[in-house]
Amino acid sequence: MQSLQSLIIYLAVGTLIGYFLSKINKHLGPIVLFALSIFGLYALWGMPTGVTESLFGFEGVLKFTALSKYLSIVTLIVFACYGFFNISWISKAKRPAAFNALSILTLLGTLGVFFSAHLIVLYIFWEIAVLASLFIVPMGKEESRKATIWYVVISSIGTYLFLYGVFMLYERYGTFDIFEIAQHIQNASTGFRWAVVLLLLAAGIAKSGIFPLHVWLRNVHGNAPDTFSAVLSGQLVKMGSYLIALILSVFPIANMFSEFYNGVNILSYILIWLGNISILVGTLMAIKQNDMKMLIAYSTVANSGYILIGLATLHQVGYAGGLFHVINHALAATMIFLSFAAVVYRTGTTKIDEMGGLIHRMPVTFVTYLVGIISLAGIPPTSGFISKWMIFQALVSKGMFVTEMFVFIGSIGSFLYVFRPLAGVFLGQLKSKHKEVKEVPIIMQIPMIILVALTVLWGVFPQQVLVWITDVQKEFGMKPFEFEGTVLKTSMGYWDTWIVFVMFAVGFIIAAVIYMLMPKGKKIPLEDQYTSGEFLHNYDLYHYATKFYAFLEREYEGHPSFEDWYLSIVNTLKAFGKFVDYLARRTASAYIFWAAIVLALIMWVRW
Amino acid sequence: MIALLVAVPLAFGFATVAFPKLSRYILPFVALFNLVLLLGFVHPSQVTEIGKWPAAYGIVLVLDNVSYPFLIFVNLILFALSISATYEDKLGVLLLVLTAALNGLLLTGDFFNSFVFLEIIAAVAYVLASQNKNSYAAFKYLIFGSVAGILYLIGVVSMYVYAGTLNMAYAGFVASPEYVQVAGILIVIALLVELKILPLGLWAPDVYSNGSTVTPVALGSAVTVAIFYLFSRIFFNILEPVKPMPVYVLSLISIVFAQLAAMKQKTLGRTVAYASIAGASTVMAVLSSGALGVEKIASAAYLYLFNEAISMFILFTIYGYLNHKGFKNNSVAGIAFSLASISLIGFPLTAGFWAKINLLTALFEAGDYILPAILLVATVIEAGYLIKWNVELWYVDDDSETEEMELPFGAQVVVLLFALALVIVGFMPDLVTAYTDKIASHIFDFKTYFDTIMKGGM
Repeated sequence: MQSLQSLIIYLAVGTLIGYFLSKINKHLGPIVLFALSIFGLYALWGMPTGVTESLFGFEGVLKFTALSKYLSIVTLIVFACYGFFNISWISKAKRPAAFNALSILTLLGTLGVFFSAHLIVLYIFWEIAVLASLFIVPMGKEESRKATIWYVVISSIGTYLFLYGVFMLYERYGTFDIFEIAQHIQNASTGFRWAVVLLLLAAGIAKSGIFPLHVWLRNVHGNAPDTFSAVLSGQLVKMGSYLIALILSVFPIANMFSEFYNGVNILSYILIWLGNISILVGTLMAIKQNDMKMLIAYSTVANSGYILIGLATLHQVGYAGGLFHVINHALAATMIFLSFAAVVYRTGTTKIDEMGGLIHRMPVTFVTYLVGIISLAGIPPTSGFISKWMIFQALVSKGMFVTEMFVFIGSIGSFLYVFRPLAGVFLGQLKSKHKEVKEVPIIMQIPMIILVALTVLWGVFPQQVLVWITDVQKEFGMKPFEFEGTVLKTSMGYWDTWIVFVMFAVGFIIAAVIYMLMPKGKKIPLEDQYTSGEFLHNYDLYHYATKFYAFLEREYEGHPSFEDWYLSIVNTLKAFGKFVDYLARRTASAYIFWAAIVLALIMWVRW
Repeated sequence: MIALLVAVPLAFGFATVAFPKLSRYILPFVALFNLVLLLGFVHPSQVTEIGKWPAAYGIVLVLDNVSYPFLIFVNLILFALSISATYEDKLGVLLLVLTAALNGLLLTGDFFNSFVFLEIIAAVAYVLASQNKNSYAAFKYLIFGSVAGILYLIGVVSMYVYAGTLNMAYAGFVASPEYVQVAGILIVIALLVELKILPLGLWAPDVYSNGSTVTPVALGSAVTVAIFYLFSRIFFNILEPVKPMPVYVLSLISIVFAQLAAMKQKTLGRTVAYASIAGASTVMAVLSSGALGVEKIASAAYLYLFNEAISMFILFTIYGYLNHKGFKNNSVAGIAFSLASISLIGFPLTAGFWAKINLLTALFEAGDYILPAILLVATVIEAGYLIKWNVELWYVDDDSETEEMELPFGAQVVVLLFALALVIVGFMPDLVTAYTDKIASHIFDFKTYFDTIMKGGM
């Protein structure tokens, strides 16, 4: 049996090996990453939970909980697909050796976070993951360099708030072990509880892109190297969700904070509202984007909102739904970003209105995207439906109808925004410059197909995922979610995924039969049509994807922008900096003035 | 024996006045000689009485557990500098004199003697500051520095008036706290100027950003470390440990403003210059916060100082050679630069991480919540601009057909070794904390110091 420590060591060694192998042949690095991910999956799949381990001689700093196991498996699936996809894609990377090594290091960091019970060790791994991903981001587009700064600043704000909270706890309880702290914290004063829990949550909120720290996602996910966006959105964001889940479940939140609304405590209520706003902001902003990667980046904001709402309910069904949404969004985001990477691999652009009709040229990529967005939008029979349904059930049973409205708006909105790349990139007319485009190599197709299969598989047979989730709930002393085979039970009824799948399948077969029996449509070349009495000679004119949702965007055109607001704060701070610089550039006599001032000051105050 | 640390560089300095070309070749050997002497032949505690005059009557040089690690570190920096830097021949002599003066400052047990060494350091610093046609900045530094020098002298004089002796140990033994205050205030202001705490450090950005590979390294790393030693020696060891509240507050303000100024800068040189002000201010804030006598805080502060000095050495050296040329053809410099940056920010696996974690632990244990908060806010800003520069230099748009610029071999080796040192310390912090703990445990121990010098009696 493998230990957690040895897995971490393998990954550390793998980072170096990946770097040097990539120097020899850049396609070898991703193979190392893939092999390590598969090995990790193999090692962790059957590992018993609840085991405490030491790391490099530090006693008991690692703990393999059911939550760690679940998140690790999600992570490793994402990384395995990403690694496999990269074997072929890596030829487009700017600095392949560094790219590969840092990818492996990112995996090490995130797994380490999931394994840590010691808050400082968690912080160390967290920073390793941030640092490694930080240097991958600027390998993307031109704007990705600016994006890196957004990333590091927002991430640092989160982590340093976290660190401050950790030290407040340490000063009070003399330990960094989160499970030990959880036993004492209930007796602390109200102010201390609030301060500590909010500070600790800040890192999770920043990382998972929850309002008001959501602004970095558009820049970073939108501009990072194409395949790495899949990791950023599918995996690294989940690190934030993990931290939130950990804090909400390890600390006795329900006892620490007073009840506010229908059995929901005040802290959860605030978090749920942050989730609401994230859903609204993410959805509305996603609708506006013309860049397909930025569009999905905003959808990540909305989906992190779903996860947060689900987790914060601390409800038997809602919490399970939140956790289920983690794996759904991880798979969906990975599928979507990998399909985008495939598109960019062939066309070289991410602008929706520069593409069209790629369905004829890249069918596998199209299907991946399609299943990805169906899951993201929460349509059965994909797994994305289940988690949204669970969150819905929890909200209804708690009587939180306002939140439900937000969740509903988010779902409808997601139909709108995921349709935009679908129509703009894959449907419509093929651009003349893309006539020669081919489907991506088979190596890139395989991970996409596997992800499609997993999404549908877990949509129809969610038992395995639910076992992982109920294990988490049992571990933290919650009432586990009830299910029997493919029948998911809540207090308000049940949902049988198998029956639903059969219904969909039958419907699909009927539709297929009708399609086969009906006369075939005629294929018309693009020039074979006319408008306003004129024949079209230039078919690029006929495809529209620009201002796709102009009628909607108009409704919230002048919306306040947090990105601009943060930039104006930075400018204000820079004005202070300019003032210091102004003082430094004064004459020598001005310097003497300062010496005199300080002398007078200290003489006056003494010590 | 320990007098050689001062005498040898000084003698070679005078001997090579007529042969400036020779001086630059001698410098590395002199620095190496100092290191060998320190590591192999002398050990704490030793006292040398100049002219056989016993302590309290004559000048003594003291090598104890506080000055010993500082001496090793400063001489190491000077040795590295002598290999990495490129400078005009005539500066060789000055650097030899600087070596002598720094060693003297670290060794001396006499107030007036420390003033003399301080002034020699300042005189060399003014010349160094004027490198690369930077005379106006050097002139402004000269004015500021002279005021500081005079204040220090007045402080020393008033100490003499109150205590009746210039010997540090005996003065600390005799002087009563109320009287020492005036002297202390004057001395601390002089040191704050040299340590570039804003607003007394306003001279630093112009001087440090002159693009030389000598000025900011010699002043920012070697001199700053030595002055921090002097500060600790006078205010922790000799005078009763007090909590100088105004200095603490001033340093806190200095941290924030320096970081904001660094964020605004458009050239790397000025950015790093302000970052170095912020770093020195942080150490100062920690020391004046821990001046109550908490060893753990002082130890963390010295680790932080170690990290600052090494990181700044790397950043300034690379800036001096490459300016804004980027790392495309200089991956060694780039790697060193990035490691130094992440160590400054305090990311894990670097020395800076332990510096920050130890600081936070110690400060929280001592009940200081303000400095950690300021420190973390400052780190967010620092992370922002340092990563910005890293990204900009790694991914520089190289359509400019300017001449190839790269680091000489010696400089490459030095920055890479220093960067590796930061990583190694990141994995094994004990390598440095063993020393800093020792310093911290002796710096608050007046009795041992007094006994070492007085040998139990007058």
